[in-house]
Amino acid sequence: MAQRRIEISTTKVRIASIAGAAAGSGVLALFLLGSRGKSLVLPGPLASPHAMLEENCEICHSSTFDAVQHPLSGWVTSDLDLAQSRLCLECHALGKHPLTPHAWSRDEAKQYRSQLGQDGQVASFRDSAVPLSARGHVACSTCHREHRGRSNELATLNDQQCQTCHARTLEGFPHGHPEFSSYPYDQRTGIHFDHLAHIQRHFRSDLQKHAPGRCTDCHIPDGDGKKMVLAGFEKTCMACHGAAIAGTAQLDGAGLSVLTFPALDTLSLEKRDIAIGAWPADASEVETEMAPIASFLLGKTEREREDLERFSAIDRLDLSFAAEDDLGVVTRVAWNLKRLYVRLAAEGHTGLIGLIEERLSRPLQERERDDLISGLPGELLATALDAWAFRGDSELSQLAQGMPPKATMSASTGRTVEDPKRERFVSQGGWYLQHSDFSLRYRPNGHADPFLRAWLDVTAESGASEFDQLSSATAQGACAKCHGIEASAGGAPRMQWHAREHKRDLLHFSHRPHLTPDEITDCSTCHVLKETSDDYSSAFDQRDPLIFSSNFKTMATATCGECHSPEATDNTCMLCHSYHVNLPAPRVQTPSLNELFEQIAGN
Amino acid sequence: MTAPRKTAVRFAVILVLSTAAAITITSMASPLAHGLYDASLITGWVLLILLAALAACTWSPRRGLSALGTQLRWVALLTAFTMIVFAGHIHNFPPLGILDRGLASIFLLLTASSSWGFWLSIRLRSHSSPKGQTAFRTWLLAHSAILGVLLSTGVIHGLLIHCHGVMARLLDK
Repeated sequence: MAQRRIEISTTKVRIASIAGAAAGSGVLALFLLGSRGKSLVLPGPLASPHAMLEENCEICHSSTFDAVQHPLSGWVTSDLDLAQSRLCLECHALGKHPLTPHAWSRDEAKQYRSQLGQDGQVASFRDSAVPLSARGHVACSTCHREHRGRSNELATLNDQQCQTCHARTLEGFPHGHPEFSSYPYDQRTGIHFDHLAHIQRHFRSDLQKHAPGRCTDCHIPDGDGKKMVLAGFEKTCMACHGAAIAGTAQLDGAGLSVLTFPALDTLSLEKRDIAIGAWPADASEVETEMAPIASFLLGKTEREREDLERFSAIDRLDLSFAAEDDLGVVTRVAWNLKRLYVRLAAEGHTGLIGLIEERLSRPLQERERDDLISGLPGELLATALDAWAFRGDSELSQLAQGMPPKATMSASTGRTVEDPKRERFVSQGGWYLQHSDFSLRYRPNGHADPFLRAWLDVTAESGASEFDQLSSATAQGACAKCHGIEASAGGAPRMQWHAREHKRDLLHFSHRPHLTPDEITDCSTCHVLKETSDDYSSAFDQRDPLIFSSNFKTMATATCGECHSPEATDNTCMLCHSYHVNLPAPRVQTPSLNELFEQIAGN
Repeated sequence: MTAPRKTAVRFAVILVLSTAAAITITSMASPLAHGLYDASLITGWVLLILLAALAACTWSPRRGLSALGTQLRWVALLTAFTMIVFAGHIHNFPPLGILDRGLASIFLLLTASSSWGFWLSIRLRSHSSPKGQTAFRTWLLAHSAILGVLLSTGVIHGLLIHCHGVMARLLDK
């Protein structure tokens, strides 16, 4: 029976356990207090982009009051995670709402959810599954797990991570991916180019010799092959549209009238004792309008803009029966124009820049100044004013003394025969005078002329009515014939100078891998033209880029699924989708060492 | 088959099955493990409780060989369950740091020690001898010491994880 018993000292067992515990904690404490303590507790090497931060734990780890107050942070509260996420944002700029899901604002999130819900797409979300803080924030470390080795790809998420929140299970394009509702033609292109009209009509006319042979004659991959960009105006459009831009077909001259004396019925003004001083006489014979740029410079105040609007509506070639109010408008505008020319003549470029800045209420950038002036020769303005017998200085002095001079005819148009020669002289672009309508003109230097572009931009920015004149399809340069105009967030118009400026929040797509496979023979595998598309051009008559009808049929997910099947090739969510929206790529800003040290000290 | 051999086979089966269960459960739970929630903190504290239970089980006095068999069976079961939780615990965070790898090694040592102790107890119950009793006593002391080391370093590891912000400040100084 004695053999069936075994004597074990429980005390010894307990002592062994306690000794083990003491030895374990003691050795650990010894190492922690030693010089290699940090490397001992490091849970793993940082990913290579963060490797240089390995010696400074505090750059990424918060030791704020929250962290001390909540030793169980991460389990019972996510405050610590969010505190640490804010440290991530010291270097990673992620927009205005960096910690909300997809970096959306509440309104954007609502909008997207309702939009996706309407389309029957990824409408169901596992709300309860989303690890949000009380403020609706998600910590960076929820998706980006550090301390997993140098080769750990922090930015790569797997499908299960996406589907923690997105309830719809997607196995890939052929199985479960929602159909595209309008992709990739969900918004208007920056350039108004009607593919159907060109292919079906223009390229079959006598312009056939200029027609491209294939899509890649006009559309080429950009540097990294991600986007297909236009091959450039010279290679694509110039053969047919070059003359329109050069302005050779313009009735009133190839150049844009910049400063002029609009036509006035000076005889009637003289008879009715209207005091506007001398005014170029023969201007009344040609219906010279107020130049849009001069009008922009004159319209600093609301009152001045109202006057200019009424001025353009008055029949200024016959003022014999004009109402007193209208004559008042004519008088005010005439004197303001004289003041403008006096200032420009006296101050030159500085005066012009000052006037534009006053109108925009902001200083101009160096590049803007250069483009808006485009080397306007001071001598040319002086010559023009002399030739048109402008006596603004003396007349304004008389006006100041309460003795404004009466309206008289001043200049003649005797030198107009030389006008075509002056215009031809600047065939490569530049400034010239056109005496037939008393105008100082600028002839555009072909496509993307910086002067026209800059003036379209400033008039658009200020929401000025002159923008409509400069951007009309018949205006010099004919910019808006092809370049779309969109309403900016504030409602002001904005020229679309590039083929596409819109970015899709949740999507990234690269053409490069799609250009080589044998299966894809040409662009029409994915981009299929409609048979007819009457609404394409009318979409450019308004300024909302989302109201759009493309020349192309919406893509089918089945087309993508032919290659992107689970068996054939990469088929993950992140292959096409991005998490962080509103950004081309999360920007890494580099704080200075001092900023980092201050940050550490602040913690 | 003799009773001790049967028991040894059972123990081997338990170990194999628990390993298979650990692998199956963690791979089945991959949406969770790869998802946005991190179960490591919770499983860590569950592990601590399990290890404490193991320690309590080891500390309990058992003088009869039959009672010892029951005790060792409990130890084996608890160890197997602890192994499953441990697999889940490290699934999201494979140990890469020195301390973490040390802890994982100690855990494996404890599992190996459990197997060894169970084998010793089987031998003791079939051929009880003073030499066998001494070997078992020595194992028990060593096993208790390993358990003690694992418990203490595990607690420190848990505290370091929870208070890593404070640790960062202390270690940067």
